[in-house]
Amino acid sequence: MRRWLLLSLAFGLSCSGYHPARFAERPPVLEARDDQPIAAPRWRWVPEPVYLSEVYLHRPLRETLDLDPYPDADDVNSFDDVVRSTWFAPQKMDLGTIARGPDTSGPPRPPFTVVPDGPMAFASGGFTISDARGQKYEIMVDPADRPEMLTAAAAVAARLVWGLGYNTPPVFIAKVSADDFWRSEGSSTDVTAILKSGPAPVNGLYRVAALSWPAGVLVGRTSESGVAGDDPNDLIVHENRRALRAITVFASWIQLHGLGPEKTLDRYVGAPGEGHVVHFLVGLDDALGTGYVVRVSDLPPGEGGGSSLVRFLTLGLAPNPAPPPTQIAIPSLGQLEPDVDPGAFRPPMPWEPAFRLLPPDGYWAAKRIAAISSSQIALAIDAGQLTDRRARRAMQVALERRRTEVLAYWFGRVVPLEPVALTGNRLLLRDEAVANAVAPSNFTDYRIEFLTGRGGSAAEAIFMHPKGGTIELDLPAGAVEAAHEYLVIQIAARRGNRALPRTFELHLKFVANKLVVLGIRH
Amino acid sequence: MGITSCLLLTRPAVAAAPVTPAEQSGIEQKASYGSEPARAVANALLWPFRLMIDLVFLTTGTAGALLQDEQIVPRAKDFFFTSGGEIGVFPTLFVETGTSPNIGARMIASIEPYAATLRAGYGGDDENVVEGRMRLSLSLGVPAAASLEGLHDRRTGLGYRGLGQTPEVDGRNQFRNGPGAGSFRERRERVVAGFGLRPLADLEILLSSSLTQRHIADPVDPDFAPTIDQTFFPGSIVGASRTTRIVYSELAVRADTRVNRNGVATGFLLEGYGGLARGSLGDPSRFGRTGFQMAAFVPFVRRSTVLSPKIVVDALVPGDGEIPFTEYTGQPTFRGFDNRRDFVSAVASLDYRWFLGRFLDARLFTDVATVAPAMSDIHLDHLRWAVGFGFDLHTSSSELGRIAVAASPEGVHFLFTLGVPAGFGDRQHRD
Repeated sequence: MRRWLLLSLAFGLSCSGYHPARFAERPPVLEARDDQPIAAPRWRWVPEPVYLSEVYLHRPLRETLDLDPYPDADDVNSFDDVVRSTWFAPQKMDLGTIARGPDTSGPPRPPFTVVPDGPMAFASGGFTISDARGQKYEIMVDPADRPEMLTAAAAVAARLVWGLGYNTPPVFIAKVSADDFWRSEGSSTDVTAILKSGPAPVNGLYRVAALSWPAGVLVGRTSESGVAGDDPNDLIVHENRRALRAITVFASWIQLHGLGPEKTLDRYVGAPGEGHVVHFLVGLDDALGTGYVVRVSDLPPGEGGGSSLVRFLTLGLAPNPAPPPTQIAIPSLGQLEPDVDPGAFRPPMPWEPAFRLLPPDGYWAAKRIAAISSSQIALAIDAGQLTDRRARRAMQVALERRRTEVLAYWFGRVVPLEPVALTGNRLLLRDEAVANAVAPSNFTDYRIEFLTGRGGSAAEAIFMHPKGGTIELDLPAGAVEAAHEYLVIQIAARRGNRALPRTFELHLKFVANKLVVLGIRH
Repeated sequence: MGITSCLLLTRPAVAAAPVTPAEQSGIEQKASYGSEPARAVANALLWPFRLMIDLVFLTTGTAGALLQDEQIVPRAKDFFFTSGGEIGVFPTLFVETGTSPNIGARMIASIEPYAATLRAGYGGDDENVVEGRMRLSLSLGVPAAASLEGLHDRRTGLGYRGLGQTPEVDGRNQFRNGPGAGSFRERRERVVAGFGLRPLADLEILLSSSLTQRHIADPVDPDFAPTIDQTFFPGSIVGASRTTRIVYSELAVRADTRVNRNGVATGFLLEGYGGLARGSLGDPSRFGRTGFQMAAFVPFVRRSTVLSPKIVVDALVPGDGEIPFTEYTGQPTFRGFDNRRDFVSAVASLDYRWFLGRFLDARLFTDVATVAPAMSDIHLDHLRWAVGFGFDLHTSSSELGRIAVAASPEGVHFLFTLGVPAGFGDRQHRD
């Protein structure tokens, strides 16, 4: 009883003077419609000095003087879901879709013309070609000592990220010969030297990753904050986009190295004046531990050990032993750790959307990850065409384990309830943490409050301790009565001795004599 | 959605324009909490400070200084530039220790390979500035740049303590009522033409010439007392209460073996210069300048912990003419208070710099400084010193900003710089 008193007290304090949000009586928006025809925007480039002075000096000073908390994401609808847009384009998540990947023109067809465009979508560089059909690809090879590692990681991560709902150019594994390439005027790329810098050819063919760009024009990196002034479709400041904030969570799952502006690219797609900007996630060859590989020949760390604060206090002299070299038994596998601390995962340098990642954003991202099954992970790994079965297995095991850890962390940062059905006055809710087996069943207490639209009590609070992962709730008479005007069901939860942060809110109202859900917030 | 359709209100969607954030959220009235009014009031009180920081960084600090690389803050560009993006006008705000706030505007034009800036600020009759700079990047087979600058400014509350390391006992200073600093105001006009060349990766040659006109007078504000004439015997200070016009031309050679100026790079720096100054339009001034600086950047214990000893020696070589008091060698590299002048200046420093994070380093430093009538007169007696620590921000290729606090027997000094340093011709801006 005492713990409920404490929970009630905390709950009451948090609610003092609280007026719930009020959702409009309209269906949730499902499309942002931000693909309206616009003129091609200018090339966008954030100079490094500008970016660094912004993130290291201006923003910290300014935010110290701003007492408002980070706002909730703006690109979510009334059901707390990110709407389909040029930033987020969820796929039908069946096995066949994941196995096939996006509908594109497929791998490049020889002969290839090397064009002078610099590669921007692979973190490890490469070169750009135009294939026999005029389709543009970026080409990248593996390092000589780790055949298949980068190319496979790029293909696998691209498939997973696409499955999560993000725009990313598909990556194909291709076998090419140096004779397939012609050098166009203006290109100085020495393709033969690049191919020879990688692993030895098999039967005269080199393995490369080919990243396929849709027709269009690159317009630069995505600004981490603000909006693009010359893109009328860009109405939501980027730092407040859940689609951008949540990338941090996805990056922690696939162990993406170097998260930041370099991982984003904008492309104007369509004929001039009739197209629109599509926002892509790139640089995925840095995923799955490839960016963390330590070689025996690497110099020991030059910097002092510990965090920045520790380094400051120890004058940079604290011991910092060299990390053990990455295994070489499976060269096609990078330093893919089977475990992750999702709360500690951060981009290597400040990136505003990551700083503004709030628990509801992380929860939404975790739901997206949870929707990718083990079979779908296996199909994504197939896209990497790894010849070493041990690498496939290790990748599968690590991704599944990391997925569980990411889910457990972010499902514990909110009250992870989702409405399943509303039949008459009976409401069925599902606890996503229990449903996804990252929290035990018969372990959670829920306190359910019924509030009017003004925040007053509409009915006595209900305490529940369901044995499974669902809550079946008959709305009390007072709550039903209040729902004719506006009803907010607010649910706090405790798992064992730990009260879950925040509350889950379900907003209901009778519309045309039928009780409907107007909005959800976590 | 993860929810069955029975939960939904259904209504066909219409319209073909991007959905606004308010429409998207479906929220017609935001949630409110009891604590919000108090926070809103506190936040409103902090608004002017936030605005000031925004202005300083978005306009004056970042955009202005980054013109050196023809780089403009993109967001500011959207606000303040012409539709073609070539010409922009920014509001500016300067706050400098000991002077009144200065507000104004800066115009930037950037049409490759030209870049130009014009800034004007006003903080009172004796605190204003108008400055224009033009730069042209050249392709001569090696990196090169030509620049032309013009400056007019008025400053007041400046101080002159006399010559020597200990001016109060230096016999060259003729004090009227005992030792002290004399205040003055200055109106200055300057034109600088510069040309820089990098024939080798580690070697820069800098050629510049300037015409500087200064008019020194007593401050109008009675708070700035005593004046030079009240502190020193009238006529004993050359250049006070008159206009000087000096043409100065200089050749400098700089060798810097550091791979880049970013972070804790190691290497050696050696720079030497020589120049001649001659009064014009009847000004009898005539003197020469020469000097050098040497610095080593050596790893200490780790690759990322760098110890850098440095010595800077500047000398003024008298000619057969006068030397206005404002032209005596000062000590701009001393991180304490730069308030000693003489024919020769020597500043030695030792910095310890270490890696804190990507693009961020910390620095501990100590400086000692002295001035003397001649090289042979330099002694270790009465050395002035300053110690401090700070943080350095850098890009992958150059320094970007410094925040430091220096303490010396004369007080505590806060140092703040932001912006990519000029690559060429910066010796003409020592004062």
